[in-house]
Amino acid sequence: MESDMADDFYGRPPYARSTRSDRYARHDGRPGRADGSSPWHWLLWVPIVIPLMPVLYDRMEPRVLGIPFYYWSQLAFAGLASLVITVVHVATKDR
Amino acid sequence: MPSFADNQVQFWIFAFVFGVVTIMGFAAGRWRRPASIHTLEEWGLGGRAFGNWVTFFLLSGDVYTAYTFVAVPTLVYGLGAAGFFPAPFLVIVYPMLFVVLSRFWSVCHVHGFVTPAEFVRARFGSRGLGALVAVLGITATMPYIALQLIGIEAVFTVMGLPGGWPLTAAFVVLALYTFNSGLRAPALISIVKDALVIWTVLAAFIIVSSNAGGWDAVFRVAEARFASTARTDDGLLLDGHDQLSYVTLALGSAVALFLYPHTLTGVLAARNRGVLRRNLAALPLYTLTLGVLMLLGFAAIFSGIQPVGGDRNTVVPLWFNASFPEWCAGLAFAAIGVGAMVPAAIMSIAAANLFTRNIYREYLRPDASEAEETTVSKVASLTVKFGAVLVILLLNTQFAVDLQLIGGVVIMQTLPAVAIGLYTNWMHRWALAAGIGAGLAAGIAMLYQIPQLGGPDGVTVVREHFGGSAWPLSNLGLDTRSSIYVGIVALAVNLLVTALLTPILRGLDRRGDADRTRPRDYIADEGDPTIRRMSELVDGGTDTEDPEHPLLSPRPGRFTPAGTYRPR
Repeated sequence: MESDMADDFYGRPPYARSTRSDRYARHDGRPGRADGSSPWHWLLWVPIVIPLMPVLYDRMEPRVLGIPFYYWSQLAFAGLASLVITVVHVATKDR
Repeated sequence: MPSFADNQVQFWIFAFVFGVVTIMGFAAGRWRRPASIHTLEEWGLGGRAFGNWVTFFLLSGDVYTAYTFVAVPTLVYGLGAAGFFPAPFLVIVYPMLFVVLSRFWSVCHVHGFVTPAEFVRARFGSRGLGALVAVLGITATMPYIALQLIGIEAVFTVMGLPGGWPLTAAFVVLALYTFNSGLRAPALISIVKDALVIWTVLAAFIIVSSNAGGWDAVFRVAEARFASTARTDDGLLLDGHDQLSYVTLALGSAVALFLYPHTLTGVLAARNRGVLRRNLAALPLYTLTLGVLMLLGFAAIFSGIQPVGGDRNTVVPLWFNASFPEWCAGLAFAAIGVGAMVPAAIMSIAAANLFTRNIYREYLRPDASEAEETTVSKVASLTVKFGAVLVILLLNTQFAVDLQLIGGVVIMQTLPAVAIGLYTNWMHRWALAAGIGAGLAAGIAMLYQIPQLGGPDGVTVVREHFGGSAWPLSNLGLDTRSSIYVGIVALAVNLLVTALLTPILRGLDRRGDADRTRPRDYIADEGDPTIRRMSELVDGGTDTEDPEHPLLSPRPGRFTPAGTYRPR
């Protein structure tokens, strides 16, 4: 364990290394706290899955400003993604 | 051919904006300047202190590049619906990044990593694997820089300038101010870029909307054009056969975007997790600007634009020139020109950092000082940019496009090590390396099999190999016209090999846990004791000892930047 202290191969400063109890603790690579596991994160699947389903939007009507549905809907997904991410961010930021 | 004499106004506006940007590029070195810019964190990451706005400009300047603005509307011009895939790609990428990048930011800030390859090296305890990821990153980034030159070249062609010396001059200027100011230069310049892009997009949208017939007429003409071609893969809508390649291309591009070193460089320069997450919430809206530019592909069909000398990249600049007043076309050209400078600078910095941290310091000079690291990175960034200029000038531009096609497949192979590595260290390092090898072999073999179609009817084989990235499923003997994006298949091969070899190699290799990261490193934020160092760098340093964490307290003299930084 002491050799671990000396072998600071990426120049990490001592105070950025582990605390003593941390160093002796075994870990399996999973996060210590529930990070990204808030149920709100499931919402993020919506703007990922919908744009990947062309059957939903591969049509001409209804048009907006003369632009077929196929084109304006895919741009509208950008607004959807923005909205969903904002909601998730606000809901999870005070963990 | 367009002549320079007809485009004097455009040229002088372009030259004026270029001059302003150059001055800003050099002045950026003084922006929130530390006493010494000679550390890689200052030169290569802007001190890791960018707030909401700067991070937005940096990331948008990074993701939405000149080549995107020129090539993507061209795809729509040629294919219609199938060319629209960057729209879903640039929507789905942000929810994915929102989850993954916060973890990446945290672990990199705790450990002072500047590159994704450094993370891999620490996570899997293998400098060879880190170097492999670094080499893949550099390989994939170089042709991407060359693509930015293709964007500028298209503008020069439309203004009637020769491609050679103005292109070289532009890149010499870019190389010099990046050398001088590091990441601060593109961060500052991208503000100009975004202003120009948004102006151009608004002007274009208003002009098309106020045409006789508006967008309705534009789409009618485009539909008639696609109906008259012999190609079966064009049209205003996808047909069932095109959907698989559309979806896999969008998905694959999103994965690749996350893994490109330059995206991660922009991310690491953010001040804290909140800045990053707020930006990922706002960035999808920037996709709207790209969306309008993509629709210009149809506007170009409507206006009867014919590419100069068969170079399709000139379609968008030609449309600007034909539809805008001269001065406004000059601004649009400047938007493309500056839009090439920003990402090219960030990409060259990212590639240079990979070289410095994962090859130079790892294998050549392990005890290199910070100043030496910075010098090596500066020189490497120059080398990378001149390499890109040489590719464009000496080889032909098609070569850069082919390399970029391969580059996307190459960078995707780092997904298991970099992205999945953020969640688990289960994979064995040699299994990861073998997976990368297998994925690359599969990907390049598939790209080799894809011919390029073209000619007057669009179905003649122009070139036998490396003609595209959509691999026909009929190659498997399936009776279908559908095709699939090569990168996705290559990534699947990679993941499969990694998953199969890991249990075997873990059984053979009884070495202990090589992971240098700790679970809580992945959730640290600004203000966390382990990251305090960064706040001190920014705020000028504190001398208070933390009795709770004696090991975490700064040691005066060596690590506290006392006297190094001017108080604000």
